[in-house]
Amino acid sequence: MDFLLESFKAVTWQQGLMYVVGALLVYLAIAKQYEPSLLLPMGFGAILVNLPFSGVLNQEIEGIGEVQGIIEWLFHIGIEASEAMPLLLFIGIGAMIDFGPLLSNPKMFLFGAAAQFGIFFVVIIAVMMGFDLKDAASIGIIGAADGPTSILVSQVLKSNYIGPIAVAAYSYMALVPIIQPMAIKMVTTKKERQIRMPYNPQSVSKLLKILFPIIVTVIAGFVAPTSVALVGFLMFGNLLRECGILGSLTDTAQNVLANLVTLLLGITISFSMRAEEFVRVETLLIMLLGLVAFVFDSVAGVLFAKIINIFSKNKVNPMVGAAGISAFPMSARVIQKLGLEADNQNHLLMHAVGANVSGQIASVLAGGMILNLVPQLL
Amino acid sequence: MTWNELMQAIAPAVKIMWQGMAGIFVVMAAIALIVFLFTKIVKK
Repeated sequence: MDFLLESFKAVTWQQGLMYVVGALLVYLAIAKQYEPSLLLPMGFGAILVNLPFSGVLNQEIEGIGEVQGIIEWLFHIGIEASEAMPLLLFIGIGAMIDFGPLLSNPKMFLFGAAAQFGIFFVVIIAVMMGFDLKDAASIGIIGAADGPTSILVSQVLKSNYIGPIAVAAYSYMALVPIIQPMAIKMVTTKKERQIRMPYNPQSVSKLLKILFPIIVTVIAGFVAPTSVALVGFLMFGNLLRECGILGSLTDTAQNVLANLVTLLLGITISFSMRAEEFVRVETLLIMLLGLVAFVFDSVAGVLFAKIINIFSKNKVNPMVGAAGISAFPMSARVIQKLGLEADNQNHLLMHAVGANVSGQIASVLAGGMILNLVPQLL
Repeated sequence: MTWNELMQAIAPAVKIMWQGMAGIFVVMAAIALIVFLFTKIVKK
């Protein structure tokens, strides 16, 4: 009867800790509704991969040989081989985005750029803390506030910390309504938060909406060739949407494809949450650095808006700069809420949406820049 | 670690920062300019 207790005897304290981490992620997903579509599969997957001799991982069985496990197989095929899962998800995300508010107010493009500063700042901090450059860059990309980008960059750079990076990226995206107000209030006064911005959008032609994804892909592709997969797939999804003649494909991309890949991505990424990879001191450091990246993204966006205000006659509410992070649409909603708190007639939503959507492009570009620059310096 | 050693250690990361941010700004500004010019031309 010893064979019944074999697995119980084989559990390590690190695996026990991962059961708690997995349960916590499931709790946050269900009870607090923090990014449930990713945190729930990741949490459950963390439990699956940490059960001793788990059948979801490759196992060497006496008398039979190696037996493949489904989660390990999904990881090798869907993420390690060609980053297929994050890229396919980008088609769905691109098909969901309406770039109209951004195209009607082109200066918002710059706010998206400014709000990626936290990524690069944390790369420096991580190097100072002793991480090597590829791991530091993978940690910094948490600041892109974009799960697929974080997973893709850390995988391409073969970071040793894909699991903590994925957990940090998705957790902090869900915590934007808590992190951003705190960061914004640190660097703005109430008077600045009260600045009103009238919304007078230019009309956006259908031709521009069709050409936009093509233009973005070509420009980004020439400047940072390694970003073509990221930017290209995002813009491909958007082109499907904007061309207006592929309704069923657009619908599939927005719904079936996005949901299917999200479901598989969450449980697949849990492969990197095995105890021997996750339970390390570095995991706590990565969580901390991820938070720093998010805070400095918001701070940089706000400070950039303040610099613009020095030279501009029409003042920009600095909080709109903070909306340049890629956490869409949470960040835009946070800015709208803070605007109304400061002045109950101050509606900043459409400006914030423009900046927020710009951040989606900028964050993907940031991932491409990291992939372009890091290998040259290794 | 001395100051010089620290500066040497972070030099590649600092390079990534300024080149990365410059690259993002250049691309986003170029796209913004194209969009702005397009809306002006189409209006005419």
